[in-house]
Amino acid sequence: MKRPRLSIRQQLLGAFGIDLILMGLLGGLALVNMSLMAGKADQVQRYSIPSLQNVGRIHDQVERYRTLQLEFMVHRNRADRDRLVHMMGEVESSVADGLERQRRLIADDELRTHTLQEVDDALDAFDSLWATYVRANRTQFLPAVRRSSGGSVQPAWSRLNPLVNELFDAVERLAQLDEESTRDAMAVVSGTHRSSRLFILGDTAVSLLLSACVGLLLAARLAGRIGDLSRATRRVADGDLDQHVPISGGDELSQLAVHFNDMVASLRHQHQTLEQRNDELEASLEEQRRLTEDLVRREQAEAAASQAQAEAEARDSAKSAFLATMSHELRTPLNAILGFVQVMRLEATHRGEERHLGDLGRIEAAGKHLLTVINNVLDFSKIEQGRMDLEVLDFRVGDLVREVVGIVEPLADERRNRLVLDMADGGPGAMRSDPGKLRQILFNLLANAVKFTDSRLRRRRPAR
Amino acid sequence: MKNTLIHCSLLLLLPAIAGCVEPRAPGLHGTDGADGTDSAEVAKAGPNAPAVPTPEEAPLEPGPEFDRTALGEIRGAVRVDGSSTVFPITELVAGVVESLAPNIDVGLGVSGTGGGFQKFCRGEVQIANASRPIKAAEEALCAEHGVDFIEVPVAFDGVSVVVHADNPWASCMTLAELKTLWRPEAEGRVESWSDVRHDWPGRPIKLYAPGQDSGTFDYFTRAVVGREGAARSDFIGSEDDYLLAQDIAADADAVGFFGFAYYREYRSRLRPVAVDAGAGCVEPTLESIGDGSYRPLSRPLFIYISVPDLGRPAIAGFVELYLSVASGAAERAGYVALPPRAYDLNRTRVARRETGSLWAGGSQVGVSIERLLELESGSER
Repeated sequence: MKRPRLSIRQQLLGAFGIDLILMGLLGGLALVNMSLMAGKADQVQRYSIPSLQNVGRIHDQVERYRTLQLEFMVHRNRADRDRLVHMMGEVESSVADGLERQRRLIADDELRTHTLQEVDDALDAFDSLWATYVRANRTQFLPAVRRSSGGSVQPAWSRLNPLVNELFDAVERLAQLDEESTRDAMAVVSGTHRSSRLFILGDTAVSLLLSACVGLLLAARLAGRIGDLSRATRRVADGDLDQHVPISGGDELSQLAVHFNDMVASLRHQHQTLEQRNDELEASLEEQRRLTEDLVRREQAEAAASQAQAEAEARDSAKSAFLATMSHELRTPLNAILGFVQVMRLEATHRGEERHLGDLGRIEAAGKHLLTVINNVLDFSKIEQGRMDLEVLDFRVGDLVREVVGIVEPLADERRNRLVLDMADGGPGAMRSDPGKLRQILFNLLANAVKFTDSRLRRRRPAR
Repeated sequence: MKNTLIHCSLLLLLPAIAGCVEPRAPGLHGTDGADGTDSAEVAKAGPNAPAVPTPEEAPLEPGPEFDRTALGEIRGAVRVDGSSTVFPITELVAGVVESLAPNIDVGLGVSGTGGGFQKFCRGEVQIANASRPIKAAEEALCAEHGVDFIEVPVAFDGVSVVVHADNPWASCMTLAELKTLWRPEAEGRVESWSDVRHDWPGRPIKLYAPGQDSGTFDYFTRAVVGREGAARSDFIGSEDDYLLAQDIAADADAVGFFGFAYYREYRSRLRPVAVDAGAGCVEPTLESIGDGSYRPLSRPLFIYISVPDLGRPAIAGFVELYLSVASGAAERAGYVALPPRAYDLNRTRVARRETGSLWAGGSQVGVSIERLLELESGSER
């Protein structure tokens, strides 16, 4: 079965609409029937009842006429007979009035039907019979009775019997037609009432049934589909993302199912993405762990290195400190020696003991050199300790060079090397530097050159 | 809601209707005097006007030779009584008399032939209608009271046996069957139609007949049973033939008899029974009665005129008019008129005061018009 693409609201509205239509039908029929019944009741009230009354009056008048005829036969007195004839005239006009009233009733009756046409015909028939009767009364009966000499029978009276019977039949016919029309009207009313009741009951039952069926069907279908959705949701909640709710129709539930399916698809997609991310994250974590481990290891190594360095530095420092201390300890006596040499030289010079002056000069130079060495060691240790001090001064380069040559000359003589200083008297001029360091550099250079040269002439020309 | 509206409109309409109706009422009352003509006009307009007992036709008039000049001068009373069979003829004549001689006071009663003769012979009435000739006993009574009479045949009638219009079986009866049915011995024996004829239905048979005073009853018993007045007594009898005809017309099992004019008037509701007197079934018709073939129930109808009263102008004038219009009145009433010669003879007899009956004391069966003429002519001779 192809389900209509209708929303639940539309379906409910549709059911409601059908109910409304049924109720509208009910109301319409009730209105029609009620107006029909009202019309019939109206007809009975406006036509049938007055008509029956009128016909009854006419019947009474005809009977009265016949009675007056009888009295006319009985009363032989002329005055009585005149009175009776006058009364007959009154009855005649009364019947004429009744006929007029009856015709007016028929003419006034807007619900004129073929039955009323019959009434019309019956009325005409009565009218004609009545006219015949009245004429027979005037032209035959009254003269015949007047001339009657009192025989044992009255042919004039009995002769009118058939006409009178027809007349009464005609009146009866009128009454009968009225009764029939009344009966018909009542039959219509009761039939309408019956059919209305039946229709109302039927319509109500159909409405109820329809509503119940629609409601139950809708509810059952909705419940079923909601159940499907619910089960699917539970399964999705349990982790089964392969759920797919079948989609049928176009109502809200179907939209819900569509959305549910979309949601599940989206969930599935996100789940996959998440897993992928998770994998990536795990890989990243692994990487990080590894990196951390590396880092730790590196740090440990660094720490070890640092410790080793510290130890080395400590050792170095200790060595430097030792050297410094040592140098310092060495320098102090050395300075004392030098001082005393200088003092001796001064005394020797002063006393003119020349022979000791050379030796004393050599002792002084060697002492100075030793001091320089010690200072160097001190410098080294200072360098190692990072505490190399520079003593920047303005000094004359020539003086420094002559001083260094003076020190190295004895060494060159010892090795039979000849050291010649090739320098102008003034020397290159003054310079700004650390004269101690420079002296030490020069000394080291020259000492090494003397030490490793035999019998050679080296001319030292200080560079500019 | 709608009903209420209708009620309201009815309430509004009622005075209007009353207003419409009321003013007309006096006008209708005012036309009382003209009512007869009004009604007549309406009757002519009526679609199915029924057969009137005596239809409106051109008024009967005497022939041109009749001298009417003195009629208006005649004053006096005429009293007539007797047979209901003859009554329609006399009634028509009375109408003529009243119109031509308005000062003649006509009194017309019906008491049956026998009753009429009783009054006639005692001098209470001057003219007797008779559907049979006077009996010897009645002649004697008249003689006793000194009433000489002139017997005048005025028409020819056929006593008609009739049944209900819806009676399909009794279309013809033999004379013997009629006798079986009506003779005194039939009482308590012949109770159903099958008792008359075997193949007729077993339904009860209801008998209607004119009363004991009726000349028709006398004639019928003499013609059928054989003896005047001899008949079973369990029948419904009346001197009023209208009532008989109406009763039979209302009873499907009925059978009865009366003068042909009454059958004619009720022929739409009655059926005549043909009578087989040995020459086949013959229905009563004007022809069969006139030519004598409807036998033996055809018979003459009479009036009897009191000779002592004939000297009075009113009686003489009435008789004179009667004789001059009798032929037309007989036909119009539904009987067979006599040949003109018969009325001429009648006039002669009246003029000559020829008294006495030609019929030797009672009904004679099977008298034809020719025989009647012979008798009358014989008396003339």
